[in-house]
Amino acid sequence: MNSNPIPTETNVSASMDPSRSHSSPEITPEVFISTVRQIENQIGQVMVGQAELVRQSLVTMLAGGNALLEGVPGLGKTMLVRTIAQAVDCSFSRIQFTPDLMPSDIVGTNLIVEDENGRRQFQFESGPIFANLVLADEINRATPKTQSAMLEAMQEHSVTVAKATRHLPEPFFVLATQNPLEMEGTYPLPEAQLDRFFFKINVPFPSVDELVEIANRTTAAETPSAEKVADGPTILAMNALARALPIAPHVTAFAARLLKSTHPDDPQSPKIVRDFVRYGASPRGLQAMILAGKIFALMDERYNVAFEDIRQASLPALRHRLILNFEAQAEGISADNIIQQLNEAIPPTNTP
Amino acid sequence: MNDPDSFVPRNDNLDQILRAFRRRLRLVDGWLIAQRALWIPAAAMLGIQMIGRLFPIGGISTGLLRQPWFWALFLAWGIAVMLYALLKPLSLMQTALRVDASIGLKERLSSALALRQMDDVPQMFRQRQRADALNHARAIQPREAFPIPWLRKPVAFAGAIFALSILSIWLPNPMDAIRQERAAAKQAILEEAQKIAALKQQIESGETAEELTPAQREELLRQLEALERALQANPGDLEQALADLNRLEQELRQNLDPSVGAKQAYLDALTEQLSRLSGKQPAAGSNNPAATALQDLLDGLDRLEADSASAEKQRQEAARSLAQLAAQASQVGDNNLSQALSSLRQALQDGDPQAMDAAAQAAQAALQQLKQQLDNQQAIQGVLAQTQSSQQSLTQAGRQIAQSQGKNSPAAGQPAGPSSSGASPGGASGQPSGTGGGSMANQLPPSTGGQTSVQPRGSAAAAQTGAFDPQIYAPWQRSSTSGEQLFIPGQDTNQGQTSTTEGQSPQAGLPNPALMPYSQVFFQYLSAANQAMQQNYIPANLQDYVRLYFSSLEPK
Repeated sequence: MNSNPIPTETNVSASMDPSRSHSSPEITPEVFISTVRQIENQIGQVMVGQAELVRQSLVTMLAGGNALLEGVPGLGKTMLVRTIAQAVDCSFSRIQFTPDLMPSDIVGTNLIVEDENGRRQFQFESGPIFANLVLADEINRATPKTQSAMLEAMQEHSVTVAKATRHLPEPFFVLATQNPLEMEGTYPLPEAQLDRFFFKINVPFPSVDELVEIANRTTAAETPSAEKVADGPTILAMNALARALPIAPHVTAFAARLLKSTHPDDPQSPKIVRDFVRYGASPRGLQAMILAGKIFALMDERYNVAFEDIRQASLPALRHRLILNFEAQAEGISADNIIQQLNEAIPPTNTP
Repeated sequence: MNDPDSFVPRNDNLDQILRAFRRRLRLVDGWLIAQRALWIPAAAMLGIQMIGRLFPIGGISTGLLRQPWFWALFLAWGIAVMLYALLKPLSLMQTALRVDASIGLKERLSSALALRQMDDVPQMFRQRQRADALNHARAIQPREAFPIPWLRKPVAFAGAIFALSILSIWLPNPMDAIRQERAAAKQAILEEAQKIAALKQQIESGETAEELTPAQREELLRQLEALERALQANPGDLEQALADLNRLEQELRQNLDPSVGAKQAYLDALTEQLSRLSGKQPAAGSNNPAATALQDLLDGLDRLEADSASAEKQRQEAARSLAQLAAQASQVGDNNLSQALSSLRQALQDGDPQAMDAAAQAAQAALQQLKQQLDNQQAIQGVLAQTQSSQQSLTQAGRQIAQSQGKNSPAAGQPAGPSSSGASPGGASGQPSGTGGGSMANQLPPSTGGQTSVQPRGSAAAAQTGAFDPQIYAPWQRSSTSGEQLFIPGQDTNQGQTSTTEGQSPQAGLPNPALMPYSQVFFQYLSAANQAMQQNYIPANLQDYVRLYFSSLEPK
């Protein structure tokens, strides 16, 4: 467990409130782009391949959200988070979720300690959640109670212990992982809690060439490591800049139509949605697509969001927000199949 | 990404750039729609060709390319395409969206337009985005970005239809023969219409039929006017023209006295007999030779000596002749003349000069009335002969058209009849001689032709064409109140005879009205069939069979 200095409630609120942090510098889009390039380069020196995973993870972090990674063990998820933390000079902690993990193991607890004068008093011992980058490994193995504590911290960027609310350090970025195998004895995340994840990122298995490169890098005498190219305030400033990027109304409308078409009761929804979707995506999905689209646009050195950005963001932003019915499971239809068909079926504009 | 300082637009007029794209898009859209719609005029052309092979429409074949409406079709298509290209709604935003999508500008132009309308956009992004959009837009030439496209499939499809249409122009059209037939028939019908018009004009000017009363003349002119109008409006339908002519013929026949021939023959015989009795031929220019001959006879009798034996003999002979003529007048249906001649005979036998004068005046008046009746009938017969001549001419024209089209071959041994120009009103040179027996056979000789001859029904056509025209049955009124009165000699009446009405019994030397020439009966039946079809008495699906049936029976 990471033992960060325990701040008082007051100074915690003053120093860790993300939106309240006025110390983040003003940056330009050009700085944003160059920083992203540098971070990607640093991660690329450590990580082999997984460009999509890296990019989507960065987008999630720059958007101030949290990502759910789904993939088999050993694909470099921990290394990814650690490398990001190194590149952006942020604290990192890793929590391995198990069925006996308690909420206090995550958020921390009050301990009775004696001071120099022998007086006993409660002292808050912060949990591993108090870090800028948190890797919640196999989050579905913890009990719902523990999951709930974790997800509340993700949502609120604060924890409450013994009536004292403590804000988490900013930037705060959680990468939760989920193993699609060995589902026995797990507690799948409820839809309401899945909705709190900005992106759900599938971690693909590396190709042969990537495996060769992984083997070469990890079995050599020197292990590569990332250098610091940014810091927390810069990440916050990048977040603010991305949010300030304007988006044209017709692009927003396209994202809204795309999201609305995930609902089977929508008259514009295609047949595959009506057949296989039980519930469509929530408005959080639209927010995620728009915000991710802005970051994708800036990463692409553009000052406007394109339809392509929305489409690019739609898969990770919506795949965990669609609730499929039994027929979809029976026929092997995945949320990705449906979203891909939606992207092909929904025209960018209503005008010809 | 470039340095933002370099984003100083040389020409910040995004609208101007988008307008240039819009013009190009309109051109491309117009060109695309023109290629996609090229099949429409091609299909219309082919459709016209197909219609021209189903219906006899003029100007479809090789004349198609000279038809103004054909080029008007293409012009209309071109104007429609041009109007579509020019007037199709295409706003600047739509233009920007299309350019973005077509060139892959990732919504730079459309976003620039949209952000221009938004107030809460940070200036930093507004300027950069606009500069970025302008830089990308300027780097693209509309002509290169939107080249004139060629749609192979639609153009090839339209070209195939065009080729088929052009080819079909020179392919044989079965409707050409029909159109030529109709044109020839129309020409023949118009010629007959002109003849009818000429006849009408003659009647109006009084050159002919001056004997008719004004009412009769007006009615006749009305009938001729209707016929001429019907023939003028006829599009080339020979059957219809023949039916119109036949209709007028039937109307004229209703006004025709069937005993006019007998009366004319009787009048000729009376004139000859009176001239023989008086020993003096009537003057050549006499308007009424019979009346003149009677006057000559009465003048001759007046000059005889009262107690002379030869005078008495002549009186007796004249009285017998007058009695015989009175009986014959009764037989031809002129009772007034019969009674006047009987009175004259009685006065002659009695030697009463006053009674003779009165009876002579009555006989003169009866003869004048009979002459008037015959003149009226002659005028009607003149028109009737013209209608028959026109029918024959049209029949002959139809036969010649059929022969020229190679559809029908002339009947074996059937001589080609003379044209309609050989037919003249009242002309009956080929009229068969009467060979019927009976008491009147030797008293009513067959007509020798000329203006006063009575032409048997249907014989004119046979006479003109020289073709055999078989007599077939036609319905006729057997018991009619307007029929002949037969006088049977030897019965005890005040005139020594009795009479009975036997209906329209044929006179000696005249054909039986129940048997009519085939060519005339045919048109009666055809007219009845046409009328029945017009009134839908015959089901529509059977009407073609009826027409074919009558076409096969049409007299050659």
